[in-house]
Amino acid sequence: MDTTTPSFWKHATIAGFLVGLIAMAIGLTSSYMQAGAEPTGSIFNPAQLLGILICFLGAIGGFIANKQYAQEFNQKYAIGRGALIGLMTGLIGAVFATLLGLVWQIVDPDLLERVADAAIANTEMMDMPEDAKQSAIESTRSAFEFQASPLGILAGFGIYCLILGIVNALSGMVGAKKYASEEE
Amino acid sequence: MLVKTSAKLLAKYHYLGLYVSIGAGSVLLAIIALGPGLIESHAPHAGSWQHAAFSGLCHQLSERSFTFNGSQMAVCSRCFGIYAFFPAAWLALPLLAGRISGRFTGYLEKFLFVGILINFVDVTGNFSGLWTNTHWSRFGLGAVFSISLALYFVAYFSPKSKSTSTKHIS
Repeated sequence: MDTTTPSFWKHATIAGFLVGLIAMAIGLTSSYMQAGAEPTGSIFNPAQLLGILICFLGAIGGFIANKQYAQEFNQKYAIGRGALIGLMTGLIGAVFATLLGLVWQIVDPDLLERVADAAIANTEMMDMPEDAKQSAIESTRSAFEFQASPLGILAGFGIYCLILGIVNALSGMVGAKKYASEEE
Repeated sequence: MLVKTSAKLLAKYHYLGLYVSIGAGSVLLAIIALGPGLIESHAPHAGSWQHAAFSGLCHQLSERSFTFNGSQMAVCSRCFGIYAFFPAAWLALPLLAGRISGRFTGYLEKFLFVGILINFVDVTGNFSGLWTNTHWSRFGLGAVFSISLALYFVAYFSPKSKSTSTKHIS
């Protein structure tokens, strides 16, 4: 007798969009803080709190997707499936984060350049031998140029998939154990 | 002998594939979290791919991050505690399962909740000026959370656990 397994894609997509939004928000917050920071690296308290509170929050998508999926369909399943749902949530989150990032480049096209300039200014303030300083500045400039290139965006998307996929797979397992486990 | 025993233990587990992939993935995260200093001494962290990788998960504030080999790590000290200790705890699960399962299983969810809560309290207390946390205190609290997270799954690695699912989706 074949029982149809309900699809988890709706829940993974919604939770993935949330992950993408959070990841982009954290990334943008960090970028604007870097771009606006004085070269001496003074601390901005409100941004610090924001940054700390949302640290690791991008991992919550897998948990949410599993919770919603298990509760909507009243299903019990193994944590391996929970990990899979979480992994897909993370991958979808990476897609959204990358797309939203591209959209933001239209909104504020100079942001990456300002972040690069701030990073270079910080490096110039460092106490290190001149040749090492110039080498570091050149590395930083190249790294940011690569990030802005199509290949860099693709590479960034790939690494985002890896990171968000793994952490959301983990949180997905937590969600599956909590809401979809058959154990008491 | 050790290899034979380990293989015997692992053969009883139903989640070997999951165990291996999560273990490998978390080790990879820990390595990337070390930042560009792992590859080159005093490498600039800004613009590095490691920094970009975790930009969506961590604030990466330099004053709240360790340095490794002269370069800022890709994550803050709290996050590094999480990424550093989780693989260790996860990989030790088969060894811990026999000792922890049964007696303490009911407390593991509470332990996970405590692990999350103490980090939240620490953040709030530091921001409110009640106390000032340090790199190592944040690292330690991150480690507590990651250990509690790994232990949450210890029951799945007990040699005595059996699959009793009657409504099981593979």
